[in-house]
Amino acid sequence: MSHLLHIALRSAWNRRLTLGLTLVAITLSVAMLIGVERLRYEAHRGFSLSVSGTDLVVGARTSPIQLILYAVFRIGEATSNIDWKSFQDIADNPLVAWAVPISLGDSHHGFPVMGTTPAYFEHFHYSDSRRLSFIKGQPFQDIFDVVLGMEVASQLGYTIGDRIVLSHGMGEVGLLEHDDKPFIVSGILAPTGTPVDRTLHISLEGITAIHLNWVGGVPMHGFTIPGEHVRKFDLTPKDITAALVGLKNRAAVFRVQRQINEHKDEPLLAVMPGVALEQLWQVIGVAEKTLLAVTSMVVFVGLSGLAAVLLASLNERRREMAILRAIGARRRDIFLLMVSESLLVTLGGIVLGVILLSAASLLLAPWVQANYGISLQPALIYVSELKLLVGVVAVGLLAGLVPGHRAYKMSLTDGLMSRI
Amino acid sequence: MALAIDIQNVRFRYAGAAADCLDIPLLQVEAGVRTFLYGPSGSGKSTLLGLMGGVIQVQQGTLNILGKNLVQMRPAICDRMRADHIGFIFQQFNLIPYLSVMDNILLPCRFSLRRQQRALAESSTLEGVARRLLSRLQLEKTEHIPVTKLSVGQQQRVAAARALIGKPEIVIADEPTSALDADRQSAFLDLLLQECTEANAALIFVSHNRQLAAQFHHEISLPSINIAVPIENTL
Repeated sequence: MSHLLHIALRSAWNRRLTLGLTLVAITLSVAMLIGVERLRYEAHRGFSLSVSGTDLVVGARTSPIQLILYAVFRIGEATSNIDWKSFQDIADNPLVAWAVPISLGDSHHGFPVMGTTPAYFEHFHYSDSRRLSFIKGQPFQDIFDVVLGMEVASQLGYTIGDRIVLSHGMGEVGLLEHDDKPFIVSGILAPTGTPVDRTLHISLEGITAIHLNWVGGVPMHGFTIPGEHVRKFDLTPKDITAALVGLKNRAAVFRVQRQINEHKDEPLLAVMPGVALEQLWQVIGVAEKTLLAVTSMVVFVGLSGLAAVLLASLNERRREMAILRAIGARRRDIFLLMVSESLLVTLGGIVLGVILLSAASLLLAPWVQANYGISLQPALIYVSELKLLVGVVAVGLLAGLVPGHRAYKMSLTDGLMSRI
Repeated sequence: MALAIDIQNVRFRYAGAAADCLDIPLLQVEAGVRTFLYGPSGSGKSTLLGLMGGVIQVQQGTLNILGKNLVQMRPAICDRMRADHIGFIFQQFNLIPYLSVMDNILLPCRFSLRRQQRALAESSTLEGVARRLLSRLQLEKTEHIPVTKLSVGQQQRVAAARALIGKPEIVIADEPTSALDADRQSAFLDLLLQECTEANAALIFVSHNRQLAAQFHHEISLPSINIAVPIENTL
């Protein structure tokens, strides 16, 4: 066998230009296939790890997917808010262990600002029941304290004590600023790999305070309330965006969900995060499958090219095959020679493709994280990708069977081909 | 004396052909003997060589190579027989273009354990055996030249070294000199005969140039032993 491999290697090297181009095509297509799979995997993982220990997410009545997207992932915006009273009703429910309010809508340099209570830092869990922890400072205590996610702090270069001006609404430019009431950084959270890293956390009172002199989304003309005077006002919020709810007993989740969904004062929606995510995967699943199908086709095209190149080379290699036969090569050896050559190129393409993708994901990881919230791990290969690679090898093997079979047939008819 | 090749009543017809290509009542070659086989084109020469090498399956008759009957033998066993006991030299383009001179010569030792062992009986390394053959064939300086850069004469001598390594019992040379000019023809033939004698191999030298026949023990004319009706433009 090893002598056949040696011959196959030397033969492949002899046709390195055509095989090299084929190798490039296979490399790129494999990198693409694995890249799509890796993004899909990381997106799933990232979303699944983003919330844990929360039994219900409550918001105004909308679709469960939309609710989970804006309440947990800060993607999109809430169509309407829920009354503070509704939230209190939920929190007072005897089956509810804790309820944390969330108020969204403001931003800072494109990062979302979230109003909540200190209980958030206690009850919000991510990954496998991991709690938020501070690498610097402490939770907000004053109205104008702000706690930064790790990425906000590192990207904008903030540290404890820095003053921050929040903007009204989401976006990067053209926003009205709450520049009359700057916030002071009181704490920075340890990185979590979840949307928390990209969030600025302030108290609900802070949210109310910066909007005191605002009506209909704009500040009242010629009327400001200086920061030091806001404490004289009642800063209890009128409404919030959503609430995270934990139950005393998880078995009661359907009961509480029904109670909230049948809330009398206003239409509310309570969803279990896992169920909503499942729905999300079903929606995204179609697009994912399509993308995977397209990239699989690209790999298939690359491997078809390999089969074509090998087939085209057969005629010029007829003489070579006849010589090997005369020396004692079995017909099976001739067949294996072709198949091993195709496997060599396929495996080469896989190795190069995986290296290419790893290099690319190492380079692009910060950008992907910043723009899509997907954290790419610096790994050469994921276990979940192995089945795809096995598939590529199998198709590469098939691509070698066609020229292999043809070479086998040729060696039958050619004999020693001593006349040229 | 033992027979290297013993052919009796062998008939062969290609699939789809109207008539037999070969019908040989008797052809025997003794071990260690030089035989000149005269075979103009169209006389079934290539088919006969293919049969002897076990590349083409015999349909009828007896075909003994070194006492083993190739008729009814599995193709893989025929391939083993060929690898172990027969060295081939063709008219030209004998060498694998992408392998070195050394790798080309050592190929039979890769495909046949027997040839490898017999070669190693002569010297401690296969390369040593190959170098000795190269020097006897006056090819000392060619070892590191790409085979495609060798002259035709040098290529034929490398092919001879490959056919002879591991001392196979039978060497079949199919018009090995026809691509050479007259001077080199006789020089090559002298070397080949000398080496076959040295290796004690039976040499079957096929040619349509009868002038070369003088240096052989026997001369056999293929048209006279093949009683199949010759047809124009046989395969």
